[in-house]
Amino acid sequence: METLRRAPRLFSLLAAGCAVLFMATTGYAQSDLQKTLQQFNSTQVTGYIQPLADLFGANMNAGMFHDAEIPRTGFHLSFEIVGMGSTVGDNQKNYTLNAPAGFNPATFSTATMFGGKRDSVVDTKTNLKYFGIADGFVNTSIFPLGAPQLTIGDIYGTRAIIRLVATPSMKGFPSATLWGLGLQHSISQYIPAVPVDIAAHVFYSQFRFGDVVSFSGTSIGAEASKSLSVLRVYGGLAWEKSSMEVKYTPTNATASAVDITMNGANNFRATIGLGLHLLFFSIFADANFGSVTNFSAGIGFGG
Amino acid sequence: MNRKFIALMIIAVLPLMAFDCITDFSSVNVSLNLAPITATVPLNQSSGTTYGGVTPPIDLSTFFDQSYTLTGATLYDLTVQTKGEDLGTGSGTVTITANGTTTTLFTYNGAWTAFNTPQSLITSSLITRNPSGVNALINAVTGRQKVTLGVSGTITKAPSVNNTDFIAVSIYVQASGHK
Repeated sequence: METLRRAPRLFSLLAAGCAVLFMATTGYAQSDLQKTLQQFNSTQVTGYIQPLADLFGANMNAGMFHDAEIPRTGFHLSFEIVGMGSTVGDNQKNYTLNAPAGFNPATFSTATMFGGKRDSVVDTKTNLKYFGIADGFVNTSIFPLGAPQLTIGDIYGTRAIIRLVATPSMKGFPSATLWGLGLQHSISQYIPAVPVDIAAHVFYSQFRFGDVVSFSGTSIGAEASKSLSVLRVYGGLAWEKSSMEVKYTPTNATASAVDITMNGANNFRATIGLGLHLLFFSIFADANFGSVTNFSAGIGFGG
Repeated sequence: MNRKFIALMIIAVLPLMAFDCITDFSSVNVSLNLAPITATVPLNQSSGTTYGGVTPPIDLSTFFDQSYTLTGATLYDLTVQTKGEDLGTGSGTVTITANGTTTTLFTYNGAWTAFNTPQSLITSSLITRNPSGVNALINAVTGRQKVTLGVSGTITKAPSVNNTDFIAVSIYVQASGHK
């Protein structure tokens, strides 16, 4: 009883932690990132920020489902805090940028926002020099994201999942909103003889930060889980899509307005994970393999 | 007790992961592609086979975000284009005046029609830059100065009508800076 009384306060603390995480991962960076991006046109900027679409997109579609056991009827309510992290590969630290027209060589490799120092190209005939967009400024091997989520059910073997975080506009930072909505439906209820629980899911999420950057993600897949006492082993396959839209007006008055949509690299993922489930408490962790390797872990309350 | 401990661990660790990975932006070098610095000079009947003109003062500090501290700049191209009727063969000089000092930035020489398509310093043999003029330009950019560009030269055929023949110059500079 004491535990239940304390739960709302605990959840508030956890939600606050998530909000801080959002501000840290995107808010701080975006303010300066926006000014940097505004120096360039869409052709120049796409490669520099493409890894953000890949990594953020993979994060958005992670950590939703870690249990395929859904009773046909009953009451289920749980609150979870999920941390996701996409691994930053070497291929996401550099990209190929076009040199100015006429330069030889015509392209050169330079840093993305996840890379090191910007590189430059020197035209072999004139010795004119041209630099890449900017140094990288996100120095990490794992790009993180955190989100609180609520799962509620069960009706006809169906469970809903909701993610929602909103941070108000604060000095220097525009408002940010992440929301996601999904359904998970028990398949094993139709095939009782199957030795594991099987479920299918669909999930859509959207993240909007100010007026410049927005993300959306969709995941459709199936997962299976098997409970062994308090331990749960789970895995799944999913098709997914994510995209990042960037809109701004370059500071160079001769450049046209930028409105580009970049698709995330991940279109398919295989998940394998392990959970510990006690009466009103659970923890879980999983690894996700696709074009982007991603890990997620979380803690849940309720059941 | 265990729940509180785990919750506090999550709150403590997740933000640290994020804060730790973002570099202080003041140490990040950013390339600032300035809008082309341009000059357009008309060629009219009254001036015969010579032409010349000077731009109004160009405030280079307005070409980039003032919140950046500039650490350098490079010239990465310049172009010359002719517009209008064929005026034979021509030559010209483009100068930059900064802090009261005028320096030749580059010269060009060739058939008028050859310049109907913009000729680029990178690919054309019809344009020759002057290193000291380029230095004056770079210093003016990094010093956020006001400059004027002068364009003057000769052609072998005088214009037959007014206000249809022009020489347009564009200068492309990339500055480097940090917040």
